[in-house]
Amino acid sequence: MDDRTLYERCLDGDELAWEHLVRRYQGRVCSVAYSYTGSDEEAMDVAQEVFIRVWKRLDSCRDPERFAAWLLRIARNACLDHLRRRKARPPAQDVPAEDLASLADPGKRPDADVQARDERDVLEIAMQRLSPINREAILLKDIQGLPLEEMADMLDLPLGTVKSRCSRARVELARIVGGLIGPGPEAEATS
Amino acid sequence: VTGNPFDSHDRRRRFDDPDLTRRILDQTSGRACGRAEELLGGRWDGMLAAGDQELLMGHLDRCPACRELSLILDRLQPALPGLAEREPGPAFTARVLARTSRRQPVPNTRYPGRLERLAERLEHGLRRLWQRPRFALEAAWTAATLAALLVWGPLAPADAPDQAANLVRSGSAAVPELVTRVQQLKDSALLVGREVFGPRLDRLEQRVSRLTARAEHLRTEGLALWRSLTGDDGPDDQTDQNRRDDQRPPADE
Repeated sequence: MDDRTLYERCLDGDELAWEHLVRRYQGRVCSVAYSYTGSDEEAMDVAQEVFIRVWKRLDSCRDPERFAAWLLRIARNACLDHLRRRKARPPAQDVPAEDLASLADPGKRPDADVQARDERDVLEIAMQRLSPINREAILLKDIQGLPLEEMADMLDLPLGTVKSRCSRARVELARIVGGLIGPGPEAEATS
Repeated sequence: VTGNPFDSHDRRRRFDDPDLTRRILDQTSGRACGRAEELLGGRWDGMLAAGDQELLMGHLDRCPACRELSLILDRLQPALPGLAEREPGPAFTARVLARTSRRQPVPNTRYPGRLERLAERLEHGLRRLWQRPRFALEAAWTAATLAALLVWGPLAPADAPDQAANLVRSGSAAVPELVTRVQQLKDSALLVGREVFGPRLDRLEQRVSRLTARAEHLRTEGLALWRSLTGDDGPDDQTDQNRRDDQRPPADE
């Protein structure tokens, strides 16, 4: 069933359609939330918040054909709100600076030792090491597959700026991945 | 000097030396790797002009660092969409549904949002008004004020006060007349209600019937009180009933 039909059924109060819609998009929303928060737990909370927002504003989607883009926009806004709240929220208790290193999650943090060589793990670590602006560009364009025009609209930027941002982001990502997986055979042969 | 200086192929090979290119570029425009990276990053969108493509390939042939970057980019492009989804676990859907589906469905209106919210607010306000404990008292005051305006207001007929006074003077005899008028009012209200409210008519009719029964009860009690106070017999019930029957419209054949 396509998004438009599902959306219209949801508007009519069909709870099965809503369940289907949640199942269809929960993975994508969680992926977006993880890209912004870098934490599985926070990503789940934000994703839940996203779907509640969507449910409350279900009648405000202007173009059901572009439901996915509308959902991603809400997801992005919810993530930014979450990051703002997290920034403003004081820590629950003071932690001495020397203890911070031992509290870090070694597998998930950008500055952690990279043990995993699985391609997905490498990509996720590389994504977390990207600058926030470049990470967002890769996330929206190359991971979620939004058209450039949609991205420009969402980020409120000129199309040319979005194109060059994507281009720079890919190169930065490739450099980070290259650093994580080590020099390729060609580079080794050259050196 | 190595090689044969008269061999044009050998000469071209020596002049193609990457070191020579680098030395020249270092003293002129600088290395072209920055520009190559721009093109490499934009290559995914499939919008590289043919000329740019040719220049980029020429650069990649001679620059191992950019070639390495290009190879990584080529591996990344098909791999990134694999990150589009992240499995949230089986409990996630249930949690979301528990916090959303219990709400009333959103009506699919032509003007989503505004009208719906306005109607919701209006309905909520009316319900609150109806449920206020003093609503009956206030409604009675409003009805009395309206009646006074009808009798003594500027739009009332000139003889309205006299009619009202006669009604009061006639005492118990006026009660059956009032009941008859209430009955007529009820019939008119039902007629209008049938057109306006349609399906809610039954409930409305039941309420009006209860009101009429209550008015009838009040009339009986009022008559009994009047008799006990004045000793006047007043009009008997049978006469009242006959009068009401006379004033009712004939039933359809």
